Amino acid sequence: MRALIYVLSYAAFPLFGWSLASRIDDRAARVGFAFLAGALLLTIEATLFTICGLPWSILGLSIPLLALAGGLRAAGHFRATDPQPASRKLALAIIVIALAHFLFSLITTQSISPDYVLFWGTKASRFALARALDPAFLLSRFPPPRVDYPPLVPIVEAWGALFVREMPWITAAAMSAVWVAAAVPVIRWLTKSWEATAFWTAAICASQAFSGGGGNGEPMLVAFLSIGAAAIVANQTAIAAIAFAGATLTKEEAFITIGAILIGVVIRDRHIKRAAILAASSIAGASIWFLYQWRFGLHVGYERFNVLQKHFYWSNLPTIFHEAPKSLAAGCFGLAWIVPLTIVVAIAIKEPRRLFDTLPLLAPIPILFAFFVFLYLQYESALAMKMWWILPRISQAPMSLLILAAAFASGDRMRAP
Amino acid sequence: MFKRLWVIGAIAVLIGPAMRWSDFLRTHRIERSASPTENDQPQLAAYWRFLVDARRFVPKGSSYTIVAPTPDDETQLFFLSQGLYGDVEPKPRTYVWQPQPGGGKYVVVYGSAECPADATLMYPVKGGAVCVR
Repeated sequence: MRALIYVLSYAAFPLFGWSLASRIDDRAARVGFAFLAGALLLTIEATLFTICGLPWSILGLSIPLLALAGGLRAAGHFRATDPQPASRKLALAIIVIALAHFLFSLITTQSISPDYVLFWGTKASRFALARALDPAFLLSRFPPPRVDYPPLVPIVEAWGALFVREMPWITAAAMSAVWVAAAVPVIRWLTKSWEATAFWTAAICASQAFSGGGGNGEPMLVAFLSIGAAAIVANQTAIAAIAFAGATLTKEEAFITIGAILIGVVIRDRHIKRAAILAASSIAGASIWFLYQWRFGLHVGYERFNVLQKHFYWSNLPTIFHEAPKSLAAGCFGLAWIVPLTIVVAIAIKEPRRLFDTLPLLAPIPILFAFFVFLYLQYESALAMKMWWILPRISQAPMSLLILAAAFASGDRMRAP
Repeated sequence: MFKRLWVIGAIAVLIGPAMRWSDFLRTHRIERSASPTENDQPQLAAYWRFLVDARRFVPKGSSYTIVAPTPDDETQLFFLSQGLYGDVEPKPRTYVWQPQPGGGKYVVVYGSAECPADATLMYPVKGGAVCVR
């Protein structure tokens, strides 16, 4: 019963975020994006509540968000549903099987992250107990690991715990699958391709289950970054701006990926206006967290961003290139990379101009891999083990971007009018 | 052409998960897991089961100390306990591999049933004991 109430509590997110999804003319995509936007609004509100000294309560947090959703609610304009060709039914079947794989991997505790029991879930449990983004806990003599991590994941996980008073740990981690499920119709709406969306879902679910993403920040991060990046190519700048604000409140790595995406945006647009809007929204998202840190005397910023160290171990290079393929297998023998890469290469040979608009998706991939090599060159010891822990997770964003680039380049959306 | 390639590729991607499930179902029974990392991180799962079992003897508002065979065990047990013992004051013997002074009223002993000399009462639990000072 406790688990069921926890699951049902997530139904509030699409209601909270409904107003921010009003420009989406596809019903499923609107619900999916509203889910992500609702989690973002709840995070901002819950953080501001603690900054202002207001304790969290279900009603106290819900009423302002529901009032906002009601006040800004746009008329429900939806496009007529597309006819259902056989290929769409097959794509849907693949999507359902992929999501079931990830969900049941979580329920059977094969894919729940150690970080969830060490700090993500711990923070959520403590925040729900304190009914606040508990500064006393984060500033205590014995704080949890990763005090500087942004608050979206623990706030979202704590939301359900407010209803049931005690954290249903496995259920809360299993809700990670809902984030991927929420992103699916948005990706379909943006790419206009059921088939590519089926591939994206299969690849992301296989990778999340393989890398143990349950309860961790990666499912949320990949959902926000994928939607944000795809929305840029689909010329949905407002959707991208909201998604990037969500990403920077999820994990600090988002800044690296968004920075790399924005380089691609500047190259594609040949001006800086859109990149500046997206950078501003990303910084605005994280600023809520920095404001909280400043208010309670925590170190402002991300401690792990001290990447400019003195020494590079060039002898790490052979290990990096030897270990990378294993970590990039993504639970599917690397097919999540090979198939979209094949499509991109085929298009580059036949119609290279179709790749130009996907630059915001393609440009970050070499930049991110260069950044990973830059980081791994600084590891003093146990490089192979650390790569095995980290690379399967941090490579999910570039993998998703590659699939989306291939989806856009191979789809009808990119054909010249 | 690309539509067909996406679908064939997606089905091929699902072969990896199918093999994973085949392996899992051959070696595990489907049952309710006792800890969130039961089938992936056995050591963390053992810590978790122990802390959950010990929790019933550590009352809300009291204080606790974790004693374990190594500083690494104590560090990880302490981080896990922060989520499970949120309404109890922590007095860790080890925090981030560093020894700490002082101790709590309840001593949660992992990996043995031996209480500190000043403990007067012991409750045996799976994987250890809870001792009361």
